Amino acid sequence: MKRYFLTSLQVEGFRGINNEGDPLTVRFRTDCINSIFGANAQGKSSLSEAICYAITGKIKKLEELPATERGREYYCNKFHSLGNASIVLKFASDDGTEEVAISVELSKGGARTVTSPSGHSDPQKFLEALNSQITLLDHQTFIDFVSDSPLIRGRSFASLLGLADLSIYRQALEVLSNSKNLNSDFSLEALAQRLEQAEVSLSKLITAMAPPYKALVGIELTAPFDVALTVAKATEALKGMPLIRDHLEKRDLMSVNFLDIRATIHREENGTKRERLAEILAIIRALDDLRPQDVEEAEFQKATALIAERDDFMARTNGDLFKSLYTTATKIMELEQWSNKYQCPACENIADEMLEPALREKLGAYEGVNAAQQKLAYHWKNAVWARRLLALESLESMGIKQEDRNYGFLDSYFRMGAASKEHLRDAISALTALELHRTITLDRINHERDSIESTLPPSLVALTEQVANASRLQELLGQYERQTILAHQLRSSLSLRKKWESFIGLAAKVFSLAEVELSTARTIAIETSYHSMYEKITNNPMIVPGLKKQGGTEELHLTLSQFYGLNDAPAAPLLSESHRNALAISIFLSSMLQSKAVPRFLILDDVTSSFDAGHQFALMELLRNEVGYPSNPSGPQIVLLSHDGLLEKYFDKMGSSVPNWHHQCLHGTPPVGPIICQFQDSNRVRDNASRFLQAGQVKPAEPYIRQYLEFKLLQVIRSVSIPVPFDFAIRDDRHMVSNCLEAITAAVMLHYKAKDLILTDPQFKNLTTIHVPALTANWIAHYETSRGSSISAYVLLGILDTIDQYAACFMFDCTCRVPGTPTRVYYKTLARKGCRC
Amino acid sequence: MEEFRFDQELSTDDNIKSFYFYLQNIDPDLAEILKANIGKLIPLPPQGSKRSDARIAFNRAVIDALETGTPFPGTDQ
Repeated sequence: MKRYFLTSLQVEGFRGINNEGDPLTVRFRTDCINSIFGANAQGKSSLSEAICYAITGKIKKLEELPATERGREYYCNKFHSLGNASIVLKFASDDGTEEVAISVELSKGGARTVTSPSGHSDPQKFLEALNSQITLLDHQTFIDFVSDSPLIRGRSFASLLGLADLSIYRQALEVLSNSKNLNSDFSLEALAQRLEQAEVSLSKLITAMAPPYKALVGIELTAPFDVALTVAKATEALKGMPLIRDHLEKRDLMSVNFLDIRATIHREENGTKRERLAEILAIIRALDDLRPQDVEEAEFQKATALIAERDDFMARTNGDLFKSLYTTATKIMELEQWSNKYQCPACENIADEMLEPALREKLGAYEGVNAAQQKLAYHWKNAVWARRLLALESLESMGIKQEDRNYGFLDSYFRMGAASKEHLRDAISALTALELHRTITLDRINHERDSIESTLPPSLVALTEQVANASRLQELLGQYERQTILAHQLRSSLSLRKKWESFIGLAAKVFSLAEVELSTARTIAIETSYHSMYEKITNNPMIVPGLKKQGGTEELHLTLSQFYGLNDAPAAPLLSESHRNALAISIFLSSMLQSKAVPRFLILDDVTSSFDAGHQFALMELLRNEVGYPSNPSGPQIVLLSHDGLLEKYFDKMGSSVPNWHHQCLHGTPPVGPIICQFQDSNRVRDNASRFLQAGQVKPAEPYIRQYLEFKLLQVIRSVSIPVPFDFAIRDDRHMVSNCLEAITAAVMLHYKAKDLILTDPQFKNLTTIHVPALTANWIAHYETSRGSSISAYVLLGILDTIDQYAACFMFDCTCRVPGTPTRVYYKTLARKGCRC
Repeated sequence: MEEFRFDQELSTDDNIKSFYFYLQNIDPDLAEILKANIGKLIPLPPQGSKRSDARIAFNRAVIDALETGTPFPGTDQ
């Protein structure tokens, strides 16, 4: 697979980089460690952010700002007159056959456009591929890694080890195998309940069929219940009755028409008493069916418990207004813009704990009320006692007047799950009264039946009763068949869902165990590496760090397996900041090198903030010799960004003495003025200044002049090894020109008085009598005192010449480097040339 | 059945493939249903209503797939 190296970055109008009309260009070497130094507020982090935005489309710290801070409005530089941003990244392939330029534009309104000036066919896809190959690390990342909770650390670590995707997969399987989720999404409990009811119903139907069957067939209904046999026996019994035999020709119990049979009997008897007897038998049957059931006592207890459960949840809620508040607050907490999960969206106070769990608990009580109400409503809809109450009140033979009925009133509460204990008590009282009424009515109707039967021929009485039994049996068998089909469907559905439940549970378990094993193996695999790196950076073998992955979770615990003789001590409270940093860096670098997907680019932004010089040096050597490309052929191309003055000296030394180190400095006046990358671009700064001055534009030229002066003076200091005061790097950077001049002048005068100054007399004379006074009078007096005003363009053009002539005073023509050809070079020191000349 | 393990030498995609291969030995139909619908939860939405919605959509698709050809009473949906 082709590998691409970052070769240049060009930025305009982004974050702290204004550079309107003159983009900041930073060039990277593909065969080097690239270091960039910038003092505070010189646009260094803006560079890192520009790369991050170009590749990922966002800057984490802006995206995580509270919505009120409107982080998205601060991507573009606030002082760029057009208000839009432009970033151009250039890459070279490792085989040298391809150069790719990707341009990312961001409009003032936030529209992002990705194009390829080099003609790449899919620049967006190119950037997406880079996204997995680049790692941006800063000081905060390392601090967070140690101080984060084991869960957050585990997540960032999984990503480092290339296990993030597996971790996400495991979490998804855990969500799917969660028994509560399965129960609600697959209605497992409800289906089981319905199946149980259907089976109870089947059993009841068999019980109900026994009396009419025995009366009709003359034998007991035997277990196991057989529908076909029952129908056959009942049909045979009916066929044995001569008066109705014709009705059963080519028919059985289930298909015979009992209305026709009754009409035949009616014709035979030719009287209204027979008709009334049939009615009475039907009433008796209906009243008999509505006798109390054994299950009712348990149902009353269940209804009481459901009402108590709902009332218990209800007591934990605060009404609909608060429900609305909690729901809205939860939705806000889920928004990406609401990044601080500890901050209340209503009052904006910061809580000690994350708010979302508390809100979910509050809403959970409302959900509990809702669920309990649904259960109560479901119970009302299906309870035997409630069905019996409705049937008894509705039965015409009971003669209950509309205004005396209770079911409608109770239903309005129970079906909403809103019934109280008092409603239940009223319902039970009503049912008790109805039961008394039912037995009285049944006695009365039985008495009437006896009276009619005594006046009719016995054969027709018997026949009428047998037909009633057969009709009842037909009705019950019909119900039995329907319930059988329903039970079969429910059983099948429940069985499939239960099968899925155990399958997904097994899948989640298997995956989780395998992931823990892999993660543990990878953690162990990097152990030697991070131990070694940590010891190299800290030079302290008394501290041995350790990582422990908690099985079945995302948690990663950071411990010290050794701490000056202590075993298994916690890392966070014991390690100093620099050691924490060293530990985090060691783990990150080891993980990165171990990962199958080694990042191709590693950008380290101010990662040595807490390090002293020794630790800095050790880390830089580690990066240069073991981690980064080209020393490590499969290692990442490293870009180091730092504001550290000590590290700057190291970078400077490496940049000038080591072949695989490329160093640059940022200078400028961001966020209003331009920034330049000094190393290769000093002539461009001079040209820009000159161009503005030629056009009479003094103000825009001033920042360039200042940068050029600083560049030339620092170049003299560095090249001629001029000693500078201890606080040189941390003095007010607005006085950098005079600070440099003072340091150089002091050093020159010291050597002059010591009589070992290498400068020629004309050089010394020009320096002290012409150039220093000119720079002081025409620049420092105007621009560093806060009292002066701008001076003319011609004078400033002269300043550019003066600084060049000033620098030339520290140079000589060397003839020993290229024999016969003089080469203009700086003296090695103020006392010697440093060559054989 | 042999214990399932991820292979350190394989990429994530290949390890996921071998996981499905393992599941197919347990139940090919259910493994296929999982594979066909897992995209509804990957990438995993943040906790809260988005994740719940994705999970419910996944489980509804599973029920549909499980009961294709099996009439469902249809009163609990």
